[in-house]
Amino acid sequence: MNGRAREVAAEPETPVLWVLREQLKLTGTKFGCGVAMCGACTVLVDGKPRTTCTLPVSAVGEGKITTIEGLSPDRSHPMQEAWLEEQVPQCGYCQSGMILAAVALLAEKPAPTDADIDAAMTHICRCGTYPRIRAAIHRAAQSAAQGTVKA
Amino acid sequence: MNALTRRGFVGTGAAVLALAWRGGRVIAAPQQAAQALNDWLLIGPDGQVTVRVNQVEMGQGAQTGMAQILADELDAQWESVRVEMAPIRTPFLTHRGQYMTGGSASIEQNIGHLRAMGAAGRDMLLRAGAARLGAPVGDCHAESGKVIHTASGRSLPYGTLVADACVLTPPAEPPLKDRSAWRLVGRPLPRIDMPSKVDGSAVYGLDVEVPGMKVATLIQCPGFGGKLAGVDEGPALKVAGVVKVVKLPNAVAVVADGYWAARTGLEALAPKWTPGRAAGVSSADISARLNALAQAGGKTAFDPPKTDAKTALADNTAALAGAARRFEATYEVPLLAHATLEPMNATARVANGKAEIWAPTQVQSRMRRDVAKALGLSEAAVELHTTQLGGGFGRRLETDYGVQAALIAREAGVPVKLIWGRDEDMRHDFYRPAAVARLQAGLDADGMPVAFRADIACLDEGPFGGIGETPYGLLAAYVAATTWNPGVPIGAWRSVDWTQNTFFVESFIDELAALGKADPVAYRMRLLKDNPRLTRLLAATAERAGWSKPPAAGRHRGVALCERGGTSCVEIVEIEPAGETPRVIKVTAGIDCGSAINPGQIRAQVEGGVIMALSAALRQQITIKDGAVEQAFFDSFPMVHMAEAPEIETVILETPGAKVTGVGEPPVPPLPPALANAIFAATGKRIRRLPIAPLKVA
Repeated sequence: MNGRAREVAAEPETPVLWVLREQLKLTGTKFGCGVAMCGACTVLVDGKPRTTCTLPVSAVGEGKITTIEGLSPDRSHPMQEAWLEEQVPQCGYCQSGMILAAVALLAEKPAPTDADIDAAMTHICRCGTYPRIRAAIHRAAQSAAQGTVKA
Repeated sequence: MNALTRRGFVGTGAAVLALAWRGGRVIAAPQQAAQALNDWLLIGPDGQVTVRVNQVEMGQGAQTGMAQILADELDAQWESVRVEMAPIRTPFLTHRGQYMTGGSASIEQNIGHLRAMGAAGRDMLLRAGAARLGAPVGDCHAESGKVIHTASGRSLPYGTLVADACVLTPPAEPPLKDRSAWRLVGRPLPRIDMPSKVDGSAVYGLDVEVPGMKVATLIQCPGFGGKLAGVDEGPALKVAGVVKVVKLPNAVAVVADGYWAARTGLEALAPKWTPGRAAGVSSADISARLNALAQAGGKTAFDPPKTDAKTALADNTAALAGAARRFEATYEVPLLAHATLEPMNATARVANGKAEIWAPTQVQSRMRRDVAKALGLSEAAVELHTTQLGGGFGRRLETDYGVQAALIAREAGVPVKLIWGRDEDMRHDFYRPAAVARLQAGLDADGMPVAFRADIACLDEGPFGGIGETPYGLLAAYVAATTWNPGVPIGAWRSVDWTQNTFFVESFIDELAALGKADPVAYRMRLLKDNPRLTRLLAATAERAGWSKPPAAGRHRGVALCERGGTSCVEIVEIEPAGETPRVIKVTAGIDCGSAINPGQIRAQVEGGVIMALSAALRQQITIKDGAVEQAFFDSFPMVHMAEAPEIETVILETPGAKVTGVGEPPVPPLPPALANAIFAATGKRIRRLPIAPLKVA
């Protein structure tokens, strides 16, 4: 759990989302639909994006979970910096899940094409920040390629 | 610069320069706690500038814009500026007597006094600084949080001058800057709330935590207006973690240790409901009735500004009869849900004759009033805390969810966070009304309209925005509407009447252009001859979109425009037909809101408005069956995703001297007709009914 082991007592079928939010008080992960359609509840489990509103806590076991709070202590993750540079969020509610999905995409495809982004970024942003999300992912990819991150 | 943490200077004993606005003047409030609650501007001895804002943050950037406006006149250092929510008190009820965020009115409603208070503060600090520097005021200037002796460069930071400045009298007429001297206004400054939205720290309603709190979820009677007839609480109470079942007149709520237990308990219940007021009604019935009413003619006439409705009707009838050619078409739009990504929620603590509410709300004053009324308390006994809003779009102008949280918390005897499921949010919205409009025009030999008539049938009252008066100043216009509603809750949906009426008007104008084989932009240019501002914006947008050259092979374009709340917006949509759903490649949007306070935020609002409207135009509709909503989740109310999001290019024009108006709503209305007009250009087929590609019902 963001780099350290955490123990919780929960009914095995409880979705990870509610364990994160209510027991571990990690509220950066959001509830949007409860049926894995919107992606607001996305975290990384062993580096892969997972919607946690339908993921039973019993299915995670010793899997390594990264939430938005665990990405960096100070918004210094290259994806967060790219997000700030592009001024991506509007209401912001979907953005934790978006950022984590983007991190997973770059881990797999360091130089994603627009088609890669279309395929990987399937969450809902009701405010319509998609063009800026696309720009931020390209920016983060370029920064990583150059080995520098523009602050 | 955290928007939500309060840091009161009052009571610390330190001098504070505090300015309020009363009776059209800036006043320096005495340093008493009660008075200080009315201040908009506080400058502390550390130089920190606090701007109290009465507009919520829901992604539209109003708080940042308000701070920019005041800080610019103050010549504050931007980094020292923070914002906090103002209390619900008279000075902050600037939206028709309400403490409210809506109608794209945040900047327009507040820019006057924000500028005045900033300018007054600068003037007082300048006087205090000049005295301390031993120089005439005219030899000093203010810049970035300092008073500077211009010749020598000696300077004093604002914080050190607060004690001297706060005993001065504010100027009766604060010296406002000329726009050429604006340093912060007009820049795409990063939004104040942005850092908290990339690290998960922003606190939305859903994230509120109160000691001892339980979590509730509920189901309301699916049929609008129906009541709870009864429920066996037993099955829910057997679920581990469930502590109580609370019955409300039209709903049943399950209170538990956490959301999952509450939801599990709720799903175990089989509540019985009385029939709703719309029992038996379906969308097909609504559509048929609205169409019949539109064909029969509107009952309530829009009163045009230069004449009266009766004269307008007589002139219109004569002009239609005498026209060289007549044309008519009927258009229809469906109900739409807001579907904010953060479902409705609120947290309440009710004890000892008092209540505290934490809510993502657009309407603080009404929420407090309605909660107080429901609990039988005075408004003074209700304290409301505003959180970040995970989307608003008009849905959070309603107070239903806050009142429910308060009632459930009172019943439960503990603080309760009420969270609606997505299905509940979809089924109990206050919807954009369904509407039908029959439009008629009489044309002269040249194909230009000499008479325009619109008969609207709509589920909402007085639906004349964007059609009673159009940007074109149409001749011999007569517009009338009939309201009929079988009981569907209707609310304000991002740009309100304009969402439907702009579709009607801009589709119709495009049809008229096509009748005369005129270019859609050129035809509109001729109609806009008395509207220089929109003429200029249309020309600039068309030029940027490359309208004068044919689009690339296989691509087609459509145009539409609107004036909403003083802001003009033009959109040109370029599509590639692909099966039943066209692919929108690019949208070029022109916008003129007077002065661009924060061009970065204007672009963001245009992008967001275009995409929200694209979702609506393509596939979204709320349908009714037996008096209840059929949709529940996003599979039946589909959103545009990344793969369908077009490239969006924004052209910002300014009209110096014009009123500064809003940008949240105006980008929404032109998109659906511009897209429909592009589809006509591609296929020769008119889209007269939205959505364009409704989901197939199995």
